[in-house]
Amino acid sequence: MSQKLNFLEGKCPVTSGVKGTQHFRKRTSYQQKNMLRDFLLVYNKMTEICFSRCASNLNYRTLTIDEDVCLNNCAGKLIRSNHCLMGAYVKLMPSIVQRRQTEYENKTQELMQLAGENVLPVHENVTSE
Amino acid sequence: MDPVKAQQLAAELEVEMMADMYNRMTGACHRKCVPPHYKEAELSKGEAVCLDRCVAKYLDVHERMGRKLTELSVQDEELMKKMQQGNMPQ
Repeated sequence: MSQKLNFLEGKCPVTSGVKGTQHFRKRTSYQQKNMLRDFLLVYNKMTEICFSRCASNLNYRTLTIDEDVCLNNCAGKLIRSNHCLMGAYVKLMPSIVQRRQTEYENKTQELMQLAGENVLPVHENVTSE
Repeated sequence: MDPVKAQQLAAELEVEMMADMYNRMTGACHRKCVPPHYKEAELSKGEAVCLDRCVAKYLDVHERMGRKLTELSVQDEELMKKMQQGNMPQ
């Protein structure tokens, strides 16, 4: 099973060799379950895509040789494109996440400041009586 | 992760994924075999035969994809091992 999980993190000729493509070996069982689920979903999606694009001859119950070749190529292309997509995503996502986090932190700080300003006038009224 | 728990997990996910595959298969075969001209409620013989063949082909494709994935993942693992071995003597 770990073999299948590692397979999702293959090398793309364009995006490989980048810092972001480091893998964390220690995983909880929850994370492993999710990874396995992702792998199986990719598998099902691949089957659907390659079937809809390659299985053109529905005159026979078995797959023709042309369809066989098409399926092999389809599988290879999809797997390699998955690698490249993941490589690019891993490269780009951390900066976006960082930016969103700083925006969120700034926003919460602003809101806390506003809340602090709203609290003070009430106390003044109380003490003046 | 202990092997018993791993097997349990795999069995759970297998059921879920079989259901998912079934849904995708029905969608794909319906798109391929039943044109959207709803003149009558009964399936024509051609459509019925097409659906039968479609299911057989889809399951065949599913099996081949599985084999291809494991084949490529084994290749990937071997490549990584070779790379690690190449780095070791240094």
